[in-house]
Amino acid sequence: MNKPNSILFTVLLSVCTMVVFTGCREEDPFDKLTSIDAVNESMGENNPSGILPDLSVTENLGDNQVGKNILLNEITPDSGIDFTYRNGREAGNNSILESLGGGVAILDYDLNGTLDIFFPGGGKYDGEDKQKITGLPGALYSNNGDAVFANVTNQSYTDNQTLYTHGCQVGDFDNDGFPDFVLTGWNGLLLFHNQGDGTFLEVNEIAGLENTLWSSSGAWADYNGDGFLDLYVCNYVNWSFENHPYCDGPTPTQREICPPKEFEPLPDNIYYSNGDGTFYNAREFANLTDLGKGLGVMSADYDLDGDVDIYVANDTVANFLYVNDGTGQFEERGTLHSVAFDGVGNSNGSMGIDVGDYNLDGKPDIWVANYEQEAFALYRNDGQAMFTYVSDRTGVTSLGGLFVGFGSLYYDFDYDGDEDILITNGHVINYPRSGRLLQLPVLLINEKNEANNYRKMVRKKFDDHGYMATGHMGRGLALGDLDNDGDADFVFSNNVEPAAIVENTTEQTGVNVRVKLIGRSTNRDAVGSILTLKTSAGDFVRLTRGGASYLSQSDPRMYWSLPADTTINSLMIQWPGGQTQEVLNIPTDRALTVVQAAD
Amino acid sequence: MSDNNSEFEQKLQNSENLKFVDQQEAGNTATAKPDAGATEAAEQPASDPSHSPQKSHNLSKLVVIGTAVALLIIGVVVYYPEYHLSNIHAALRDHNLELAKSHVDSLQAFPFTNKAEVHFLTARLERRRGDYDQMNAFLEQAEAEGYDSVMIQRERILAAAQAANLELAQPKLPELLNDPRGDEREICEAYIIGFLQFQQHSAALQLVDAWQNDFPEDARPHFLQGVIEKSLFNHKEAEEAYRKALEIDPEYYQAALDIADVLLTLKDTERAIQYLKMAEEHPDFRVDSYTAQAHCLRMLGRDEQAEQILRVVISEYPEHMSASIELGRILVETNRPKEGIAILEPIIKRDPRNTDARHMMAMGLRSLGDLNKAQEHFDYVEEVKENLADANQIAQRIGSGKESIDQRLEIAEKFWTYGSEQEAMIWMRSAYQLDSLYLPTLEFMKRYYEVKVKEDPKLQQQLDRFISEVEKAKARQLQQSEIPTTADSTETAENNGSGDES
Repeated sequence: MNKPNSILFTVLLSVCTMVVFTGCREEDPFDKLTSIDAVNESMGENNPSGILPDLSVTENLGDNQVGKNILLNEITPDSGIDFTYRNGREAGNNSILESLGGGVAILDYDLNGTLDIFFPGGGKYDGEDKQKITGLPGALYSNNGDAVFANVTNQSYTDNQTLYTHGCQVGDFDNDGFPDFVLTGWNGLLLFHNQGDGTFLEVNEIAGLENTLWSSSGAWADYNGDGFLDLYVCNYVNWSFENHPYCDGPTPTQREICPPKEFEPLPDNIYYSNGDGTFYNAREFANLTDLGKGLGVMSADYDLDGDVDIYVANDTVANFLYVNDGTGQFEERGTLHSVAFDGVGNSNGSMGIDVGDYNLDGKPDIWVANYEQEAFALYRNDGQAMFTYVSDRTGVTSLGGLFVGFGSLYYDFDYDGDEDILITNGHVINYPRSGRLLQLPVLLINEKNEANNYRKMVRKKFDDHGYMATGHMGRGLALGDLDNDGDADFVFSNNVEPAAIVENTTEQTGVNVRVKLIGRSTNRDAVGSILTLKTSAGDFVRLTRGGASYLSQSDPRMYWSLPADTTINSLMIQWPGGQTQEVLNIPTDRALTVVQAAD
Repeated sequence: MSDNNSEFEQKLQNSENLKFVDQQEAGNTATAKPDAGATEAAEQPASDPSHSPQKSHNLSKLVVIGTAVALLIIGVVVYYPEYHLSNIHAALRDHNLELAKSHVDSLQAFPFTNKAEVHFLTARLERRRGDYDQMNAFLEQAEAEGYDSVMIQRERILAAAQAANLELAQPKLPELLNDPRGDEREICEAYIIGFLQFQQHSAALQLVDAWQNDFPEDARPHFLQGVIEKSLFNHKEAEEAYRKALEIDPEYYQAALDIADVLLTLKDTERAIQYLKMAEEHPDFRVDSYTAQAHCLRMLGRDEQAEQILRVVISEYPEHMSASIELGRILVETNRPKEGIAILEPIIKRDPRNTDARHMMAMGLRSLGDLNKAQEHFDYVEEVKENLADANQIAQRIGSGKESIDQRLEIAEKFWTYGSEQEAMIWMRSAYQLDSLYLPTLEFMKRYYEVKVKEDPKLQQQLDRFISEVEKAKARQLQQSEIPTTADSTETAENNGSGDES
């Protein structure tokens, strides 16, 4: 081969090679992705290629930059409260009965203007075989006025121990102005009528609340609009010692508490008032379904149409949304309204619930605390009680799946006008596979991204060693201004662990508003009302509700905490039935009581 | 021994077309024909020096060239099969079945090789792919070519184990492990798959443990441990096992994807993303990795980025189900229900049982005010979820004896009606393995093939077979009812001497 030819050959070869390696190369479509704004940087920033992520990271403890000023300080030792809910576990039965725990109720039973506290007592097993289920007395603590309490259980005659109890729901069922309460529990109810003299009389039998099933939560509300409170009772599952299977723990000798899936659901009941202090079971009239394993219930006007609807949190099966037609008859629409399941149609183990307006659009959004490995659920109300599951996009899912969530409350902790969410957690079984037995309470701070208007729920990290930074067997949770300083304090009831009083010691940098409603033509507790506080910073809505949280009852007053520069214009109240009333001159230095105007 | 052989043959032929496909491993590679390549013997271009322009050169030059060519041919004949054989072994070990298939195909087409060994390895590959008919065909060819009959029998035992025919395979396990003949990994894996199908997790874990001890540098047993722990909902243990696999083999991307899946179950989105980024490195895993990353971004409220990724994925792979559903979800949830429905509709047409797609479709329809249609989709999703939850609950408690057959069929029915056909087949097959003469099982299989034959007419033979089996079973039942006896179908089978247990 002569030289020119060899040069020509080399050139041709080079050209061909270039064509082969450039022109014919198949373009990788995913190269495009590298140009997508910040995807790679943000997703891979902690993970140089080839290095495995840190295995030790098991729980995201939150962000200590959010809610920096929030201070929650346990004051139990100084409060005079020394109470522990007992479940009889020392008998070694390992029954599902022991897993529910007990709640707490905040009420002003003696109408002295300070909030008192009642704890259901739980129960134990008697008899030679330790299979006779009996109750333990609850405890009523009277507030001396500065969050120091005295035990008045005996003198108030609330020391009944005939029922293995769980929940306590407060409601003035006879409209006499004094709060009464019902206790739920295993195969029965107890109804304590407040006699107005500091004592209670147990009147369940006389009142006709004949629920003999295993009840968990209850919700007082006037479902049929006759002016008297009715009672919805959640029943759980058909466990008894006649139906007490052995469930394996991690090893054959370690007995585990059986999951709810081992048992059949029990039908809920709804008792309508006869107006004379007695009730009748209206479950058929109300069109209740039979398929729930109810643990939490909350009555409120979710579709803002003037009547009270019901949301039921069921364990491992679909949650219910009963939409009221205004007469006390309901249609169950949980599935269609997308509050029955999570975002992909799975039923969750739902326990604690509350309703608030996290996105300040005036429509009530539902919060549900679920079992471990199921994200807590935040359902955004898109109008007419049609909901969208927004746990993903609000960052709730990012909490991880370690929590078994129970009592839950909306409350604005940081004086920015939007409600944050507090949840108490604790496991229910003996040998959890992933979550811990004792679990931290979680405070989710509602943060708005001004750029895209998205709201994120960011877990606040508590750096101290106080109640919020230690693990508990959390169950019940209720709020109320125990020290009358304007903001809400919190009571946690735990399962076989002392209850805790947590004072809100956050510096009050904003405006506190507390409103109590007294109905006249409606039920006196005004359950089902919609309150809109009209301010220079916008409108802020609250709903009076029956039930909510888990086995617990909060102070019936509505709470707002607003930025300091907010001017309050008025309070618009829509009473149950639709009557509206505007109130001007809203005080911020004391609680306001509004009595329903005459028709 | 020959009796045993025929037993295995009988057994495996009975199970024609009952395919267990290892979901994570099986590719879409076309099935090899037993005679593939036989008529396509590579025609080597003849080297004819008479056509050379250098023909006037002297003889010695021709000798040198001829020798070189001869050496080259010899080299090719010797090296080429060796190269492919070693690659087949490596690919099988690495569970790269597609690669193994390509090397097997090359060897099947190459005339100068040990055909017996090639057929045997092809049979092994087909077993691993879950195609027992093909496996049998190649084993027969290997046998005809003079391959070691003991190895062929052992391969059939492994097939039985892998197909969860544990009554047949389990007694052979000690024998196989005592004399593994270099097949330790194959033995362990086949039995682990079988144990898992029968929910025998502790037996599977024991084998995994032995495998890990004997081959500490092998990532596969750690990966399988992860699979087992995951199926037991032991998420921490699963993550640790998958991590170990990744530590041993940093390119074990399936393990990275599986860890991400575990972490997403635990709602640990941030860490899941980190593992997904690893899997993104490999072309085979990129699409799934990106789709899962988009899912994570949505979980973190970063819809826009998620949507961008999904649009790229779908533009390249319009048929990608997960990506389409994820995009449909974002569109519906961000108030673009019409767009979302347009994406979801074809998915539901292709897979009407896809609950994720139908759930989002319901949400989209609801947003558009079509409440009745929305309710239909919601109701269907609820029905499916309830039934699959029931199936899983039954599966968690199921025994391994014949008393479990009805439960197995119940599970199979639920999966067949509501879930994965593959799962249904596994349960149906396990019922069949326990009693191949049980009428409800045969009726189930007949129904199955009645449906499947519409998609694949080649399955007519199977349908005919089960029609006949059902008739025979009914006749036996009739016969039994006429003869006063309490014998059950198993006893009848034993009396007839025609059952698998005979």
